[in-house]
Amino acid sequence: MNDSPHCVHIIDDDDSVRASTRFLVESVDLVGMEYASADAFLEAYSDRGPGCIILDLRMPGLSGLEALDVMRQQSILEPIIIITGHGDVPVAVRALKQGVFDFLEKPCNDNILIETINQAINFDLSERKAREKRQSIHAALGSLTPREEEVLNLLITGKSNRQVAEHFSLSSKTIERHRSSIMRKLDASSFAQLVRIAALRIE
Amino acid sequence: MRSTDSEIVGYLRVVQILDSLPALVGYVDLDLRIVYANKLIEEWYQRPLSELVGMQLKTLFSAEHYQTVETLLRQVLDGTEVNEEREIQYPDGETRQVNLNYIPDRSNGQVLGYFFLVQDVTERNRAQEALRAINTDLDRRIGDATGELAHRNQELSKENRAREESEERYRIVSELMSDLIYVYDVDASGEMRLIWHTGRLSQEFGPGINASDFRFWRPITHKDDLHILDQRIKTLLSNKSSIDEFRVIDAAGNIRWLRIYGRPQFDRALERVTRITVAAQDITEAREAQDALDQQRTRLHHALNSMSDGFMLFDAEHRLVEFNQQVVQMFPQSGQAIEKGQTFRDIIVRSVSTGEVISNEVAPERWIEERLSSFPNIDQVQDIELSGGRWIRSTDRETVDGGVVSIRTDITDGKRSEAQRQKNEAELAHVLRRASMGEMASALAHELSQPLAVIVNYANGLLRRLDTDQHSPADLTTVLAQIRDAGERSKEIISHVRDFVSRRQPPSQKESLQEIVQDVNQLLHSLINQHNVRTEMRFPDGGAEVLVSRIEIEQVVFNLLKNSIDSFALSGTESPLIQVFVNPINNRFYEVLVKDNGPGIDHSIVDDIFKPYVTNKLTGLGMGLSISQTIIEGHGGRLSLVDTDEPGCCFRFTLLRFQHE
Repeated sequence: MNDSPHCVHIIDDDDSVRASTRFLVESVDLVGMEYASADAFLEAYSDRGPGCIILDLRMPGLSGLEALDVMRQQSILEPIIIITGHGDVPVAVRALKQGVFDFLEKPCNDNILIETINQAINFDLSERKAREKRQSIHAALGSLTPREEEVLNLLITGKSNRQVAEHFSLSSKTIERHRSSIMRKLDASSFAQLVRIAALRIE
Repeated sequence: MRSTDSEIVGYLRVVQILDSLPALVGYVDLDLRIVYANKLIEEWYQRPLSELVGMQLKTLFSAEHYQTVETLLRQVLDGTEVNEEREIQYPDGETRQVNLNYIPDRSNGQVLGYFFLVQDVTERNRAQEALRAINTDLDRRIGDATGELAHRNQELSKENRAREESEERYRIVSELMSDLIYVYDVDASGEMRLIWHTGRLSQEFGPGINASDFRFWRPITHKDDLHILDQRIKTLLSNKSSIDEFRVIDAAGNIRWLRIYGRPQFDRALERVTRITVAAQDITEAREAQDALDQQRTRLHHALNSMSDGFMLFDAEHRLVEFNQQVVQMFPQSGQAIEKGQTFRDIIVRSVSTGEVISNEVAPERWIEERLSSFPNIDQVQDIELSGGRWIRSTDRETVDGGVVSIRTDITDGKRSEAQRQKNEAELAHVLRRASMGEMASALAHELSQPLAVIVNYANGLLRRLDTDQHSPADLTTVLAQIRDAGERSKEIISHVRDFVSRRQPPSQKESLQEIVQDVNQLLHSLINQHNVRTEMRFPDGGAEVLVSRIEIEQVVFNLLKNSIDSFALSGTESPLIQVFVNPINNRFYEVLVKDNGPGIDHSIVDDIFKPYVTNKLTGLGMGLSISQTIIEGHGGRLSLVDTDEPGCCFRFTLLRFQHE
């Protein structure tokens, strides 16, 4: 994971806290980006590859919880670590329900912070991979001919080649040919794998 | 002695005059011989002048007459004039009144003789007598006439009285026309006989009334009221009017109230009452209404008198409308004189002037003026010391119509255990302060977490770089400077904490309300920012100086602001706003209003919010407002929840102004 520097977006209204957090994360080969408010972040954000967001909930302007909603709407998908003062339990619960990655109390132990940041970045990496895979499968599914799609739909319900052939009044051989073409296009090595990939279409 | 012609003429004229006088005029010498006599003397004595001149008086007069005048003659010859009235016997035997005037003739100190003048005054006296008689007669006549006049006047006023009486009768009759009028004749033995009656009552009360019986109402009168009828007839027969009210039972069996006006007519000639006119009126409804009102009033009185506190209700002009017996008993010297209609001033002045209320350090007049100028004192209770060693607490409330309810509570027992109470209160305050100190400490801890995070982050970042040899001298300088700055910031915060904690039992002194509010605002700064709370503050020109314990008032302001912020967090209020307004309300107090636009206080606890352990929050002890109230009341002010139409809640507390003296 040390191949290229990952990016930590730091959103905090306190200049010195923000700068010190950046100093800390940059000491472990990460890149820190600073934002003084959630509004500033939403305006300046661009995808800089795998990374995470550190958000201080005590901020003027767009409140932390509102910011979470807006980020999701704008497809900002980096995991979010919330940092907050002590005891804000109700806010923490709501934040977690809104799908934040983790929730740390301030002042936080640097080991825990860095560990959490690394976990978040790893999570983002795997998420990004999964997203890529989903995208390639979607592309592959899109390359099927209409007939191949029809055949696939029947096959994954558990029908045999012969039953499918009868359904379309075609020869079993023709169905067999469609089937190998589908397996090839979707890069499936077994029928079980084919079913799993086809299931992704439904998402 | 020779006489000239002219002298003779003069003499003759004198003689002529003397002769024509209606009086006896003459001259007598020392030998009592007549020297001269006028014509009337000649006629009187029926003798010629020639015969008279030279005649001795003794000769001329009768012996009797001479005797009566002898002393007078001696008197005049001694030189004394004589002038008196006498009754004398005339020669013709008639007795007449005469006026005798003897004038001595003096020459060189010697008496030579005397002149006499005798006038018959009988006629004159008679005239005078007649005049007197006439006068007397006139007087008598005038007297008679006056008597007649008086008599007529009397008659007239009698008529007037009679007319007035008849008018009065007419008035009563016309007033009562709709009811019942009847007339009795009374005979010499006192028997009464009904001679006529009219009106609807007889119909209404039906066969119960026997028109021939003078005990008109008796058969249907309520048995408890029969004695009224007996007394009434006695009164009327002794020539006195009467108005009576009593109960009868009508044909339908209902109890009705009657008011009966009776008026006797007195015959002066017979010297007894000969006739009685009676008018009866049905007053059941009025009576019932009156009874209901009385009952209500009685009930109110019972209620007021069963209170343990003294109660006074004043109208908008501060006149006493209602009060209870407790007030009277609380002020044994001046209370007895309390009456409805008196002003608050009357009552206060009396309680001070009787020496019952002790004005302590200030002069009684000043005390009264201050008491009056602060009445009604809605913001503060007032404790009054009585000469008997008792203490009375006065609490005022305004009524909706601008009147004032003033409550008096005997707090002597409370005052007597003052020392114990103060000790308990101090202990309680200490415990409460520590409890709220916890809240404040947690806010401070949060403030402190910021610079600490900075220090820790830089330090750890640096350590990691040192481990991996990534550092540069430039980095070191920058980072250490940052760490130092964060350290300085922490120090500031900590010194503030020390301020809060070290002042444990701070004495009251002159403080600025503005500074107190702004300090607390500063303390809550990050919490306010976190929730995007907008704050608005308004202070009077010149700051608002109060005499308080700063740390305690800071706790109150802290609690109120913190409550508002917490309520925003809990409810997710949109554009939260806190307003703090400080206003002077009179020359003694400032008020502080803390308003927010949050969810407000839950109705279920609105009456209990100042009690301990009552809270609107998910977390929290429910001590904040209870502590705050203790603190404010300890400062002589009041903390209350203000009822407003606007959303959110508004707390108000009052504090004594610092007095420059």
